[in-house]
Amino acid sequence: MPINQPYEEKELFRLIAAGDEQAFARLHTSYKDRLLYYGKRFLAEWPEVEDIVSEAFLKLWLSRADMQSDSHLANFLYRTVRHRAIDRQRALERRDQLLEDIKPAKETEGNQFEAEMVRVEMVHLLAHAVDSLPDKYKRIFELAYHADRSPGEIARILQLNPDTVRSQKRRAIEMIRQWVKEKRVVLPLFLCCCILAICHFFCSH
Amino acid sequence: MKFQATDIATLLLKKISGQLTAAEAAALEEWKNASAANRREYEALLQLTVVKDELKRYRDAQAAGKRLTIPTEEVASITIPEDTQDTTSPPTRTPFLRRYWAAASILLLLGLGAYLFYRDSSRPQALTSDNKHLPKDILPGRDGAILTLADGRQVVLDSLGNGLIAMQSGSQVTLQDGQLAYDPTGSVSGEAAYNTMSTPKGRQFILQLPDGTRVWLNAASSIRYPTAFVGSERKVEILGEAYFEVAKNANMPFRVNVNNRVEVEVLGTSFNVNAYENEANISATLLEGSVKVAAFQGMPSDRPVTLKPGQQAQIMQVGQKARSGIKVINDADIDKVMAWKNGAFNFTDVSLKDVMKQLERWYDIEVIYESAAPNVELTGKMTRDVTLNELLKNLGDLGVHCKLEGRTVVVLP
Repeated sequence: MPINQPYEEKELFRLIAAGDEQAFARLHTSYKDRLLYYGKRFLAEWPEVEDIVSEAFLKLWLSRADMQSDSHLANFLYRTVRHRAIDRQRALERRDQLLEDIKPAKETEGNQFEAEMVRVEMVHLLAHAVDSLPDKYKRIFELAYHADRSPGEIARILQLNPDTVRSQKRRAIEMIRQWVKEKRVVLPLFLCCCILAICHFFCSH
Repeated sequence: MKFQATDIATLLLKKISGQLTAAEAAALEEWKNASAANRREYEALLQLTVVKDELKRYRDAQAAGKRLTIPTEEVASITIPEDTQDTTSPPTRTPFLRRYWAAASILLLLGLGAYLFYRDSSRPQALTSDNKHLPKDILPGRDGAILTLADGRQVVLDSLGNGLIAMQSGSQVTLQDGQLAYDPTGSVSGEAAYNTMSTPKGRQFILQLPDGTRVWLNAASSIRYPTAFVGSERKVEILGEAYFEVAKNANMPFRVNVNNRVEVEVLGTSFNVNAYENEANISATLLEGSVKVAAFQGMPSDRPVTLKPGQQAQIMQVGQKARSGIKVINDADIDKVMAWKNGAFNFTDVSLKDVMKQLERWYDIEVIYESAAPNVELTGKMTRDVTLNELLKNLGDLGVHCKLEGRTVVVLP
């Protein structure tokens, strides 16, 4: 049974379709980082990416009345960013190899887009998990994984005992594991039924 | 099969951290095999170096995001009034505009005189204007739920007005003053259709089933039920916590499947079930009438027990199974059990950890402990409509000190 859907967002989308600008501002805050991150996949320069993300939001706000279902809106933003980024790239580097990298010939665009969304969401979730750590753990995690520092170096930077750094790093990882563990997934229903049936079969023999 | 990107992303994280269940592994496998693009993405994202690089890129995007702010008061002035549209040329389709820094130009063309977006070169300033719109305090939960209809469509019930929500097999579904009701239409065609109502953290909801049974659903809970009760029994499934007032019908017993672990057969009327997965026990508490409680996969010696009013059945939940028999408490603290339904917290003799679990669900927060959880038992009651800061202040008076970082509460030693 589904529980804890991306629930706030559904509600947000509904309000935006009705013209609620506060809701629009919240949507902007919650999606801009993901869209920038996604757009950077196609374009080299941040100002370019910032432009197309702004355009995508504006386009959404102006056509909000035509929006119908809820998940539609997030896809709309991502697709707009994708299309504009590729357009711009075409203009920048006509018939360049890069395009082939973005759109492998055998793959339909829909499949590619779906796979890309998974990457965006996974990195977004992971960043969120790290952000939910208390500050001191977060700092250690970032130094260890972003800056590739050893516990000894981190200890020097933060003026801590290396053992403390090691144990706090472990604790940080454990907290992230726990965060991931508690994150619920809605599995498609019939699949769950199959699994239950299989488990039941084995348990009863 | 259609997967949500967030769900697959979560499964990948679970896989990386070695926490996939068999069912989840099967779902992930299915997604992986659905297209070559998925397979490529799957293989890339399981490599630590890829994930690390992507995370760095995401942090860069966040830094760029701080330059990209949106002043709410100016969005308010960007409407698309009919007359403005008539007097200006349609702007968004003009191809040459695409190349320009679009947002501002389009708006100038529209003649509305307001910028929707502006890029602020000074970062600290941009940062404060971004934070300005975020609430400083965390508000308590409120009424709201999400309804999944038989065809998979989902309806958010938070702020919908009164009226007809849907026609489902055998029932019409209406919303009245924040409560959802199923009224039988008399004609049931074919098999029963199932609906699911779920509350996220920070929401609760009241539902009336087609037989007139009323269900109060606490936060982070869900109930699945047929849109019309046919046959010899009434069966529903729940996760989380719910209070039932079951309509009497001696010919059709009412059965509640709890987490697939425990079944409560209702012979009479009102009872509460608490079965959150992060709680040690599944407990069923009877207020009126009579219920029979049985574990699905208990020890052979486990007999179903029949509760009398005021009694509570507790079944320990360990891993996937209900274990070690059914324990019956004779005079359960009904006031404490029912506090949530009556809009209150009752912390009498509740350990700090258990208090925090309740707060996590009601305020949609996460609680972590700086060191081991202080071993204190609290007493006292308070209403559930206070903001989180007020509540934390009260906890502070009781000697439990916490600090709030975003939506995470850190309990200090």
